[in-house]
Amino acid sequence: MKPAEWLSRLNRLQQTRPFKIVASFVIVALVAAGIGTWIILTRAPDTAEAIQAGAEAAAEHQEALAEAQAMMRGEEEARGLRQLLGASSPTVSVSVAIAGVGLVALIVTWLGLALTYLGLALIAAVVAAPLYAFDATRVWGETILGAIALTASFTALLQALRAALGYGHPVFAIARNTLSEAVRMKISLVFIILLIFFLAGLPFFLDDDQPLRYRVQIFLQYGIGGSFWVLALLTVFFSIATVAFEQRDKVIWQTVTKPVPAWQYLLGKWLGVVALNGALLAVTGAGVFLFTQRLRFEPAMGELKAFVSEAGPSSPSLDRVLLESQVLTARAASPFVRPVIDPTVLDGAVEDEVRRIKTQDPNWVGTARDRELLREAMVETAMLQYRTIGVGVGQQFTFEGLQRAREGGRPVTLRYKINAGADNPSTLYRVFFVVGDAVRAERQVTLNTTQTFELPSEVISEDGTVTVEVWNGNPMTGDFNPRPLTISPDEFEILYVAGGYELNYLRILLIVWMKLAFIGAVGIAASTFLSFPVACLVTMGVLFVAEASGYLVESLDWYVADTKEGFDYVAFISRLIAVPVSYAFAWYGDLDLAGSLADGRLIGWAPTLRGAGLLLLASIFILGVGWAIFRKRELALYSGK
Amino acid sequence: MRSGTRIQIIAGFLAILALAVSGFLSTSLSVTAGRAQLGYADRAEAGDPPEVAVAIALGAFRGVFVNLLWLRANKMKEEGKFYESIELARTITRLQPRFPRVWIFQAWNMAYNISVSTKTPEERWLWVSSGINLLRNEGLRKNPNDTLLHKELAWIFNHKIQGYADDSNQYYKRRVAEEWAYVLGRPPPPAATAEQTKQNYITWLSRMVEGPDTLEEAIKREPLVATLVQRLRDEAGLELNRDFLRAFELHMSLRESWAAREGLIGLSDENRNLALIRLLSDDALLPAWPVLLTHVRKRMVIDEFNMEPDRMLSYTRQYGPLDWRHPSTHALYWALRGVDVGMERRNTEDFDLINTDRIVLHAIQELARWGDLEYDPLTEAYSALPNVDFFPIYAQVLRELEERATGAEELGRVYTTYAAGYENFMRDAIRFLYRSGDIAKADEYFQTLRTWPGLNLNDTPKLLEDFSKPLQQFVLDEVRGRIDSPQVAIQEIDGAVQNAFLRGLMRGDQRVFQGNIEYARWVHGEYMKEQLRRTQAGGEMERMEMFPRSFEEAAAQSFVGLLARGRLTLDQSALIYRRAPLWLQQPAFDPLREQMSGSGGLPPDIFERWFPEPANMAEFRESQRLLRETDDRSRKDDLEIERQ
Repeated sequence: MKPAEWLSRLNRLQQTRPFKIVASFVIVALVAAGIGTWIILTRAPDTAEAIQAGAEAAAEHQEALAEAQAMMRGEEEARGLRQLLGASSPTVSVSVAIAGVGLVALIVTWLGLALTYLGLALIAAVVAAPLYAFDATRVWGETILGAIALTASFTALLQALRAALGYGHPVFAIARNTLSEAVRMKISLVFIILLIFFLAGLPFFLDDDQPLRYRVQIFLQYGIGGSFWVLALLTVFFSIATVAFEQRDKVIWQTVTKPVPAWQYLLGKWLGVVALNGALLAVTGAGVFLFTQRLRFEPAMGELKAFVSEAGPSSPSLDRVLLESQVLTARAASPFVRPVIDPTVLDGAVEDEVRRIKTQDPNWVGTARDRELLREAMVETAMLQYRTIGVGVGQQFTFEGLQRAREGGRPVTLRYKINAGADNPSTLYRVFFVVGDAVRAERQVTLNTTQTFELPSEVISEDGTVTVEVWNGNPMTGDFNPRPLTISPDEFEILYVAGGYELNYLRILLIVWMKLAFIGAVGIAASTFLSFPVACLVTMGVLFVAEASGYLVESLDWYVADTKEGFDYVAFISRLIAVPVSYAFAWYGDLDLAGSLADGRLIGWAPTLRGAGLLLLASIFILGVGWAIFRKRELALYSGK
Repeated sequence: MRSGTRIQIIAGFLAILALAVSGFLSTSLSVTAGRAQLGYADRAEAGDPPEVAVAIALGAFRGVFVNLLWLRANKMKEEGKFYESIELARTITRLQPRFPRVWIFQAWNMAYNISVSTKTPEERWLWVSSGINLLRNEGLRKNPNDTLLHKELAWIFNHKIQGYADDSNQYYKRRVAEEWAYVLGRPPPPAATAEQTKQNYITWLSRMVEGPDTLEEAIKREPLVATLVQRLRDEAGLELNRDFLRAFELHMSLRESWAAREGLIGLSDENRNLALIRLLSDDALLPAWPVLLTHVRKRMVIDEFNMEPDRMLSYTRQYGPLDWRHPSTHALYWALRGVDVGMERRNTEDFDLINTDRIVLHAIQELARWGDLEYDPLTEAYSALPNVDFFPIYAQVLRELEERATGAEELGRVYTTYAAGYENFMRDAIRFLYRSGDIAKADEYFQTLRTWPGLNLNDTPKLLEDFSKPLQQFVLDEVRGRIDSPQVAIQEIDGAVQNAFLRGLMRGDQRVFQGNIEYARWVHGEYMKEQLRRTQAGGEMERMEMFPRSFEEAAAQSFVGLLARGRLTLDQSALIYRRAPLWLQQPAFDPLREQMSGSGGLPPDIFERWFPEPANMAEFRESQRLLRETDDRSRKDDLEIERQ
């Protein structure tokens, strides 16, 4: 018998009920034996003491780690971490662990994957473990072990999804078939394998010389971002292939003649693609999350080991503090309060300006639109003046809505960017901050680069406001800068911890999933009436334009037809196409969230659900367009081509 | 003929034509690219890093991909997201290593943006040195004749490290000094003349340049080297690397330290290597040490710092006694090298060369202003003072650069920036030399300046007035014009006095000490003559009298300030104190003891060991007390008389 036939036979065997029952008994017996052996060991005189000592040492280490962690993350978390530790005997904890493994084994068995997992464990033992044992090949060993773990998780999840879609309704049946197709089709298999090895291998591209927080940020950014792109390409090719190839090969005839209405067919296909993406995203998301946690327990810059600073317990390393307080967290932002301009004063200024212009140019009419433009310009100028600080002068800014930050008792971060003159990159400016009564500090900053400044929560007043005085130079020492400086409005804010990064991470995964669902909908809709290559081209085009829409919108502000050298016709024609397209996808471009995760910025439930809702609506709309086309197609004519 | 066939024939003909043109163009492009050394690789070779293969595989899309990365890297930098900016820039350097701007971008990010965001000097230096290493060891290895990279590297040395804009600049200077103190060892001390000093430096550096390139060669020259290397490894646990040079220099510094001889300082346990001390004291191994050291130093310079010993020597011959512990020496080296290698690639619109020339000028200026360096790796004592040996070199370089920059600033113009810079420099130099007591040299410079044909002619009457004066009058008027303000007067007096202590007392140069003291005394007298007023309301304090009437008291105040301020290390302060004349030690002793051994300072017995009480202190204290009483009484009498 050929190996493929053997594998097929074994696969059928592990799906049978008798096998599952026998395997379950075996697992339960092994768990009982394991727990029993452990209890005997812990009771036996010659081993009990050693085990107890080991457990105590481990508990002490855990507690020290938790204490250090707690110091980074504030009192609230400290309490939680201490509670979590608790006290448990080694007998109980190990027994629980053995039982947990047994439970997972039972689930895997009843999913019909017992032998698959055994096979993967065998590969791990025979191939990966020896590679891991030697320094020279450890990298490969870890990569293969990681890939095996991801594969095992994906397999189980896929099987669970197929079981969940086991209803008799045609939509679910089509979705279930689509899932099966995904692991059969070479085109999708390639991307799945690529994804697994990409994730498994990504940690090895991290540079150990970089600060730990940078490595974590890179891993989060590229782990989620890179996975998204691999999944997006998989979605493009697979969603198109699953419809286009069925039409080409006449397989679709068997489905639509059941009869299955066009909308159910398309919905089922889409659901299958969404479910596949869900499974893959769950696996990659879990992988990225777990490895991030692992990275967290590596020594940061300035540490001897994780959470143990070289400078002693009272001086945690800056790298560690920033990692815990600015990266692995979810921070909300409070921008500075713009000054309110009295409307009557503004109107008066506008009218004065109108009169002045009319004096110079009597032919100037001064329409309502002109007045509006003047008003906007004056407001912009006033705001600019407010943010511009002369040499040796200070300006006060207020931030509101920080009650929650005050209650949390954790430090907040002032974020700012200053510009001066031509923003010479080699110039350093001195900026002096006075924040409440607690903080008086000078900072040397580079121009046109965002900076951060930690502030204690004590600077927040009872009503949740913070007043920050920013000085151009240092009034205490008399060191002033050569030019006035301007504070950039978009980067001037106070960030405070508003939640844990775990939920943030989950929300971002939700958005990514919905984005993939949208791409899937475009692919399926395109393949209803286009051939495979053309549909791929169209869908890829939509993907790239949508992803680049943020950049496009910004760039088009600078790419104008009216230039100093004359009228640029190429730019004019390009803008005719690019402007509507980029603005059509601007809502999509705003959903670029991997960067927010890496920066520890909060993505709240409201924007998450709004974004997910928009994507879902867009998907439904696109599918609707596809359905409108598909229901009119004469499949008998187009199939086979 | 059917239309389809006709179309096929035409299409085939067009295809052949296109192929022929493409073949011709690509050949000619390849020749041009090869001549201009623009190509990096067109096929992956064995041993190439994987990124070369990826870059080649990307083919024509490499440029597009790099553009995208570059745009994102810049955006991330502006948003302060350095983690991604660094990774993107690193990827670009791998995909397009012949793109100089990305190396510079990366290095700038590290040395300027990220470093400033850190909290401690140690962390800052980590980033600054990472930026330097990136350009020097990676960027320049891949782009060995790119002028822009050289210029940027020189700029970081001259501006970031040698400059004063960064609060941690003193820390950076010490780290560079430490690094090169270990790599090359201490340079020879200044000789009697500039030419002699330069010759000594050439001799000293030549030993390293002529040192053996390989260990085998070293052993061939001196067989004992093999024994020494073995014993270093086995007994001292030292491999032939930086740690070895560091340990060697520390132990040699200990031998030469006066404070160590008096038992005041020593090496810590982690730095003391008894086995190394034994090897250093072993006479049988004496011949092996110089051979081994020159070999290790040479390899370190070439392999770790990507520098050329021959070139270092050549620049020393050309420009004078270059102290490699000084950041501006490195700025000079890289700027000059950039100009040398870039000359062949120069085009008429390339301002890189001109900008790099200016860095050469600035580097020499810095060496003239602060090139007299003292650094003790044992105590981290660091001081940088003006180096007159570089004054004439500045003029020479200025003339060379002026000739080269004829495109940017034409000769024959009434005013040029080079001429303005030269004039200002020479005026400062004349004042400095006069102050230091080197009247002959000051006069020589004065004559050079007043007869220089390149002087700016935009204010001829002032020029004529200034240069028709005798030297003393010229200097006096230069100073007078500056000391109307008490702050400037204080600076001028304090500067001269500090120079007397640091260059005079610390270096044991009595001539410099006396010259500066006399100058300071003279300025003090001039100031007091012009500005002193007695007022009824003032009482004890005359209007505009911001410091003591007595020069000795003023000098002593400055003396105490220098020793106790923490700018010098303890051994430097003690050395200066011990070498000071009695008239300085006596008024300084009590305030110095109060400041240095007050609460949290040195214990009294330790203070006494470092700063012994001067002779006749009791009599001095009594005379001071009487002086104070007399002064008060006479003031009050004067006032009484006036009121009456």
